[in-house]
Amino acid sequence: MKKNILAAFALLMSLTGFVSCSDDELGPTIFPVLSDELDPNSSTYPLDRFLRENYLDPYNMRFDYRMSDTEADMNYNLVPASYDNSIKMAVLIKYLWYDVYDQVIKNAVSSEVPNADKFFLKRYGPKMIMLVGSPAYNASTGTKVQGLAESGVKISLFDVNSLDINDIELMNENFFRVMHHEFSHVLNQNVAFSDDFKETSSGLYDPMNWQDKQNEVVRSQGFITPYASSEYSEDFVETIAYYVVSTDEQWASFMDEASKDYEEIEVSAVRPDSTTPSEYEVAKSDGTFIRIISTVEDVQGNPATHKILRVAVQREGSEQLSAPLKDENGNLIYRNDIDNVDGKAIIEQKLSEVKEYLYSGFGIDLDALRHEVLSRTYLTDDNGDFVIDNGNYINRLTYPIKSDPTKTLIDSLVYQVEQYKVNN
Amino acid sequence: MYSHMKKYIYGLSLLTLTFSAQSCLMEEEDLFSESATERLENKKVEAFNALFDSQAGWVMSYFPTVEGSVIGCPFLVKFNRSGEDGTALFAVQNDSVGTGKYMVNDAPTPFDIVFDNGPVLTFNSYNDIFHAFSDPKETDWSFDQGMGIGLGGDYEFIIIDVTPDEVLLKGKKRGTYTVLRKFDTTETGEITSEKLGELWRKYMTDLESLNKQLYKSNPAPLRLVSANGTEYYLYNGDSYIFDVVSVAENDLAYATQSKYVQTLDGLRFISEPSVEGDNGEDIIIGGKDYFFNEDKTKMVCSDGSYIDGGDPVQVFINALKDVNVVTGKPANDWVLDNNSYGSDLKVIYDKIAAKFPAYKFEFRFTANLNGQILLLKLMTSSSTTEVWRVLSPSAKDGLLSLTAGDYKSSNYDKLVAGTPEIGQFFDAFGGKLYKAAPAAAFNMGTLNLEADGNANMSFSVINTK
Repeated sequence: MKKNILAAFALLMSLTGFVSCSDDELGPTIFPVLSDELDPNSSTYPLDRFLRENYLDPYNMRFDYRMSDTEADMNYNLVPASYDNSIKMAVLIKYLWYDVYDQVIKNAVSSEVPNADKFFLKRYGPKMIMLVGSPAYNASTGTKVQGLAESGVKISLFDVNSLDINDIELMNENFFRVMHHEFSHVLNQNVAFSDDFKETSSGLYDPMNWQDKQNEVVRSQGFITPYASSEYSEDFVETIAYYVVSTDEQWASFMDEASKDYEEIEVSAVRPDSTTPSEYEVAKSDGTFIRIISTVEDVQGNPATHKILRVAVQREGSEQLSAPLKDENGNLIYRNDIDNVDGKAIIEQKLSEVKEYLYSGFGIDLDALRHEVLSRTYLTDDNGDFVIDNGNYINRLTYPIKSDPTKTLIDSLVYQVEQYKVNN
Repeated sequence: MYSHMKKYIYGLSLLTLTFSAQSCLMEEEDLFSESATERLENKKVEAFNALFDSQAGWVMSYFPTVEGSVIGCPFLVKFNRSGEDGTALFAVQNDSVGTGKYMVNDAPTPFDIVFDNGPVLTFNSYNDIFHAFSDPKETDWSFDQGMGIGLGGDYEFIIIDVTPDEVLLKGKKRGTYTVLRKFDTTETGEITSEKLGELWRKYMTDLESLNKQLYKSNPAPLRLVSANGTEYYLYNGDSYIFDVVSVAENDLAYATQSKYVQTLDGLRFISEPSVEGDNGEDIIIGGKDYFFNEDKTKMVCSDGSYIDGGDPVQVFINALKDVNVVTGKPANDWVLDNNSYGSDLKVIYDKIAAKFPAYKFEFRFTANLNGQILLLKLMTSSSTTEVWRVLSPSAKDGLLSLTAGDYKSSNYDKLVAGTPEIGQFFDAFGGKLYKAAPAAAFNMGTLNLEADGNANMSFSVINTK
């Protein structure tokens, strides 16, 4: 018993000894005491202040434009975004993305749409946007990454140094379609979409070879893009992203493509003699030709054969270059028996499902979101209708603003940053 | 067993007590006066201060990568303080914009020093000059390192060492070393942007002249002499990648390639290669700096090795002996500068010129299938007459020996019979030893030769390569 008491005492003392050793007074933090004050003398103060006031304060979102490779995949070779393009991206992302969602959510909340959440962007919005100046190339597949969403928290946008606001289509393809794409992933990571969508094109996804496919071909199979045909989660977000930035005419054009079938055939590029056209020339002129997909050259480097994409139509004979048949009105007679899939119906079904997902899950009307995006992108008249010039929509960003016709919209957006320049 | 266990626990408790009490009595040795973070922060401040301190900027010897044929590059870079961080302005030579011209950023771009396993200098905002070396979109196929790699350079650098005059950096991804050296100027006081432009423009012009002198107009390779005296030729310097081969071997098939960056201070080798010497020994040149000596005749390394233009006597001989076996013509030969003759030759030359007022004369050390010769071309606007005789060069005690041979052109005797001064001119060279020196340091384009012990027997030869 005595031994037990002694042992217990010894243990107690040893514990006390340890405790006494940790009884030192704590010194000041070993980490540098950082101030959250911005330094007006910094060369990046205008942008830093804009980002704080427009992203960090309202959305608790960090906008990282000065690249650190610890935030990027070291396997890629990347360069930072330029300061000037970072400014443009900062104002454009606010104008064409945050303000769009803000407006749509605000309308939904005021209309008491079920599940509309006034804290939507704070709750689901990315916590970090990182700009990267260059694309991220995948050498093994010959593809490049335009955007990444990580853990529902961070969105990386690549190739910012190629930003060209004069080319809306390219700007959407490189950035804003990517933003909607990646943000839709974020939403999916918070609220799963239905199994019905996953089943819609089950068995047709091709994760290995999607990059080799043509837009028209995958649309005829029910995918809005080749990347959508890689897997169902990409299919889901591509459908949203493409719809939201496409005009009615562009979307109708996609659906028209999706309603047809296509053929890839090989034709000789060489004329049999000087007066007889080559197979390629025949194929190119019969009204079904779309484009050359690839070319094989002879030893002199001249085209020997082309692989071409053409619309599948009924023809007079079984030869691949037989003349196309035409109906009584002189129109081509399209075939729909190549892939046996009604691509248009399937894409429209998917569109319906993504609309239902956004509305029931988040109270977001995808059509309202799309209208807000398009009317900020393209010029509208006083009635809110799009102004069409020679069949084309007019780029609103490069158009003079009403309040000061000497400035364009992008000038006024950039001024939101430049106003913070300190005159030394 | 149980009893043993209790004893063991009991003993262990006492032991623990003893040690824990003991540990309280010991004072930890204060190895560092600051915390790790404070030390990092101080390093950052020290590096910032050093970079900002040079008003005329820095000369950066930058090696993007050891891979492939991507060459190193000298930049001029000026760091400006901007609040808590700074901006950097880069300039680089650009042949495409003309002689002595260079490209400079339209505006400085932000940079920073961040903590990441140590202080890291990061050019984290795109700079159209500097990031050209790291942009994966750059697809110059002659430098192709594979898709998406571009020229493969770093833009983030671990700061290895900082002194007021030198900052040593290590590329974070490629691991290649880059060095910043303070721009050397005698300017005092504030350097305005106009003054900076002047200084940088002069630097770029001088650097272009230096590159011309050392490489572009130099028909011979530079020579590296190791600390133990082994000699190496540095071939093809105008490609910015030396082919290094020992003088004894002198076979480019066995050359080691080494990238280098030339600045006005000297040259720096990329931080990798070692070079095999003629006795199987290796010398390490990677990462070494060779600085110009005071009279700028050598670039000297702290290990005792040095680089110079080589032995002019050997260069003279090699040029003539490197003969095409089919044509018998040398790779490059030497034309005598008719305005360079010392009095011994000038007297004879003037007599010849007086006899042939309508002719132009060209004396040339060259070679044909009979060996090395001295050739005279007598030229009018419509005809050329050539006459030659063998004059073999060799090296003797560091001097050039010229020995007249028996072979001569078939018209030689007839011409000399009519004009004995031509024979006297040919005869003047043979049987003598000559001191040889390049007209400009390192550059073997023009050699000045003078007979040993007779300053009046002198002439210059110009390499025709």
